[in-house]
Amino acid sequence: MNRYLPRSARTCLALATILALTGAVTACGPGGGGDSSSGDNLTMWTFKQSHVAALQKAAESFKQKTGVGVTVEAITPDDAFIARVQAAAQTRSLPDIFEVHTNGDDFTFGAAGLLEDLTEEATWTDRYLPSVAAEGTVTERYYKQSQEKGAKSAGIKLNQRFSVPLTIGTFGIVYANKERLTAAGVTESPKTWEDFVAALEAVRRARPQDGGLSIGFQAPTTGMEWLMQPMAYGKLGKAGFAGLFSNDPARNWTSANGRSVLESYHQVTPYWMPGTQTLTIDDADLAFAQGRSSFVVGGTFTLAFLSQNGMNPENIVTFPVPSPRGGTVPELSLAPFALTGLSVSATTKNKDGAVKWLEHLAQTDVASQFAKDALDVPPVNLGDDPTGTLGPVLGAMIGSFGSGVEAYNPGDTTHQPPSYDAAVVARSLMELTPLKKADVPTAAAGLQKIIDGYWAGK
Amino acid sequence: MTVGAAPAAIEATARPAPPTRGVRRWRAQAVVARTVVGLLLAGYAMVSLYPFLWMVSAAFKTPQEVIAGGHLIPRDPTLSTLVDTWNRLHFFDYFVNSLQVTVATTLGVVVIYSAASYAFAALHFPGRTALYRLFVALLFVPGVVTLLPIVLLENRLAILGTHLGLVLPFVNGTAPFAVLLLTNAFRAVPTELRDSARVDGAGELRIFTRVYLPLARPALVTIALLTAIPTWNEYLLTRVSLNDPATYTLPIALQALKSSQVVQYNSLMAGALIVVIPVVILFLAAQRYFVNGLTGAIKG
Amino acid sequence: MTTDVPTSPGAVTVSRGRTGRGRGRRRYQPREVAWAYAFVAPAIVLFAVMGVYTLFWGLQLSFVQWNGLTPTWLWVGLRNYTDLLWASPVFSPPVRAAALNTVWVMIAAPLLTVVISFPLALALNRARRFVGLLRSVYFVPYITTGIAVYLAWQYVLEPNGAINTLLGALGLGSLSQPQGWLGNPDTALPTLIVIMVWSAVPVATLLYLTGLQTIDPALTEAAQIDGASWWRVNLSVVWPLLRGITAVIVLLNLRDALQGFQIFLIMTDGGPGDHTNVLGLQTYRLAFQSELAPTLGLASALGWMLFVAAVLVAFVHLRVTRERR
Repeated sequence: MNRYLPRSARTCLALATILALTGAVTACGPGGGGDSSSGDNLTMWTFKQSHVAALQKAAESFKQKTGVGVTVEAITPDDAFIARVQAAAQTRSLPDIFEVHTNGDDFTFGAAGLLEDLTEEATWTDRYLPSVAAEGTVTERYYKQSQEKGAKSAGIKLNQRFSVPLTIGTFGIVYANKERLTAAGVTESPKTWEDFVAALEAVRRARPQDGGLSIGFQAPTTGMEWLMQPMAYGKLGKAGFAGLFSNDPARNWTSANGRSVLESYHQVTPYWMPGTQTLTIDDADLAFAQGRSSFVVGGTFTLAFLSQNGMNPENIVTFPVPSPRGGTVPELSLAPFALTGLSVSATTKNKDGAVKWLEHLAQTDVASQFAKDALDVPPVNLGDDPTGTLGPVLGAMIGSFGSGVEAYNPGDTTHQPPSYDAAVVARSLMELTPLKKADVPTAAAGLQKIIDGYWAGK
Repeated sequence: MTVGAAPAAIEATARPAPPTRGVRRWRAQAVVARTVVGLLLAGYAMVSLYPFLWMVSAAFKTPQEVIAGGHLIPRDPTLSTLVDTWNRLHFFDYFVNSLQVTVATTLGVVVIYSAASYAFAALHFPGRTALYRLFVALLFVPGVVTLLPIVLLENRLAILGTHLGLVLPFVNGTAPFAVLLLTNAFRAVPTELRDSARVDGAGELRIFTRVYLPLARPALVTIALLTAIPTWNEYLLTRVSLNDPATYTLPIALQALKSSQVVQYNSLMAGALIVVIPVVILFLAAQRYFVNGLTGAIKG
Repeated sequence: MTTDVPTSPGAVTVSRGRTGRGRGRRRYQPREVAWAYAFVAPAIVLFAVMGVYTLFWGLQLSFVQWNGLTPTWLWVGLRNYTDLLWASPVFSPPVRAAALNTVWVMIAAPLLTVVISFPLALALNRARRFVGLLRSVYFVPYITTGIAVYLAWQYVLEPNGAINTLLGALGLGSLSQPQGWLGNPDTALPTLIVIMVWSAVPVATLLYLTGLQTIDPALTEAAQIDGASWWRVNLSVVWPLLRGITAVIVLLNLRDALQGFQIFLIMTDGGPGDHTNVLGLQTYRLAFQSELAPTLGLASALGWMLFVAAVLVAFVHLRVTRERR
């Protein structure tokens, strides 16, 4: 009987394996990236589904020019992207190129030794808009930040460049329904925060059902970073704004400055679209496009989404989140910054090809085509007439960019304490508005407690 | 006391509900009681089906009507959303993917753990109690703890993102539960049957396949269902490990439908309906065994 | 371990605490032993590949600080555990808030499940018509629990969704939630608990039903002859007889309440604000939604604390129910 023993064990195992394999047979591809060994071809990972087709199109012209193919793979949602990079980092099976969040992922990846330093290679940066050309480079302030205890980017060095820009934009732009605004007697774009609140009031009075403001609060940072922070910057100016995130009680949330910012922000509380706290960013934009809300706050990227979803661009009024009356920066404008960038992995076997691909995407015609396909703003300098190259929708977005030292740059995170987790802070702010579970002093204390925690380090 | 009672033969558990003879004794109460019972039963049936009614309703509505909200019964019902979701969004491919993963996982669980449970229930060997307890203790390990290690391990084994990479952890993850249920069921098989089969010269493999497996069929169907249903609906590991749309299972396709495209509730609900219908059919088909199997497990 | 292990009565065996018969036979027979290992081998091999590595590695991870990217990790000993429990002003407050929500779920979900499914099973046991149909209908919530049904629930719970409309039509408009049932921070968690109960009632009802069918009718008849009312019979005769099943139902639901978080991830992602964050979701956030901060060790530590908590709960629970018996 014993001679059956090995066989039965084997049968069971083999059977199980076969069963499992038949289930997996159609899916047994290499499972994606990290396959940089196949000749000169490049693999690229992105977390933006909307960029895949546009990148593939650019890859075609790149192949014609250089003979090097690029395989683009989207990994979504963000948690899956992160899990995937973590897994690949362990086995050093990284793709050749990453799309990254500029001045964020790139520094974290770079600190872990996953990326090439592109300082030498990126020779084409004069093609980018001057205001974003240097992004992806470790400046003095980011370097300092990396040296704080608990920083994600610990280990990066001054002046290293870990990415070049791919898409740019800004947030803090209010989109309003023009017809409804006019019908409610608001004929001019609000110039101050008070005007904005008055416009909200006027439209809501005219349309109690669908006159509200929508924001995708299921991502809690939207309300904080897109609406409250630009207003706070306008109110307090650069230094005052940075002070809010400090551990100095004379300048932070519990100070008079902090409370007055929260009081201004609290003024929008009555005007939220019902249920806005449960919406995703897309849901909130969609609600506006479908007329269930009359205002939405977003970024440059919002316009394309709205027009894709049937919102007539002619019926939209846009204006930057305005500064409160008597604010330090009365004419608040929004500076563009690099939203995403391109990085080359340290394990690539074709660094030359990878760098050429980056350069290819920075060529004016390729970048413009990419922009039109992906409906995203390119970082390259298109001269005085971006509308002529990109069409009215993207052109209008570029037109909304401000510049100069006074402009608010939402991409600048240098005021944040180490290990700052924006989602946690923003969830706490939601207690004030839209949830109405806390009054201004309570909310201020809540925010400050979290921020003090970051400063105290772990 | 039902739980912990001596094992009983499984056949006995399929006995019909006991006659409610006592009811006749209180006539007045009976009418009231019957009404209450009827209302309770009908009411909860509504509660059970409530979201599905709206799911079906929305799936048959036009986009305009679904935005407007309104009634459960669509004003002009249309099949086009359902057809569109099925065709345009490649739901057939996702359906096939889901089917593969579910079938492979279920077969794996039934084959591997019926064998192991037979050993735990009927055979005598060193380490039996320890191994059994190990498998039971795994019931309490939260899935989230092993999520990242599984991703890292599978990347090392080059199976991350494949269906095999889902099936193996699913099978292993069902282990505690399958071992508990099947060991219980096998223990209920009378030792005499085993002994007489031995006397007839049957080997272990024969006893297992000819005596134990047939007698434990309700339990096997039950564990198959209790594996297949959560596998079909599994979301977490699938979400972090699959990224090629060609490999998506239905729940992930549904999530992708929700987040990547702008959709109305009508197509979302149509997608949801496509996800839900197959498990409902599967359950209806296997229901008879399922109830018996659970009863057997309880009595074991 | 990653599949949401289905709920069922199999866990009954836990209460027995021993591996069954054959204890008298002390001598192993070599042939039988060899066969036994052959039968167990596939399960062991799979566990060795998928289980041992992941568990060991996960446990090790709970003692380090790491973001999953750097080649090395920083050994911090027990600091992850202390940080989560009390030491860190950054990491312990969310854990405390999530723990409070989790406790609510642990109290309410098992309780409501029992309160609903026991009468339902009694009623179903008395019904003479449509029993098969009703049993199928009642089971639908369990078999479909997953993202599809959660989306359907989201749909009916919206501000202008079916539930608010229904309340308005019934003249109960004051009860409707203008922000949506998941939008009001006071109703979001209770709503999610109700949906969890809705998913858990089917199995519980079926367990009670099978239990009811094993009760000797003579027992209830005897009580009825003594003049006890129908309700009284059920409460004082039937309920104690089914206490074992109640124990199983409560235990399974406690485990789900402690560790499950899929419904929270899909339906609210912890929102609005942070009002529906639970410990399972907090673990997931630390692992996968912390934007590459070095919090993987914290996530693992929190997960292992959930394991210990689940084992403790099971142990205490079994002690209590065993004593009562």
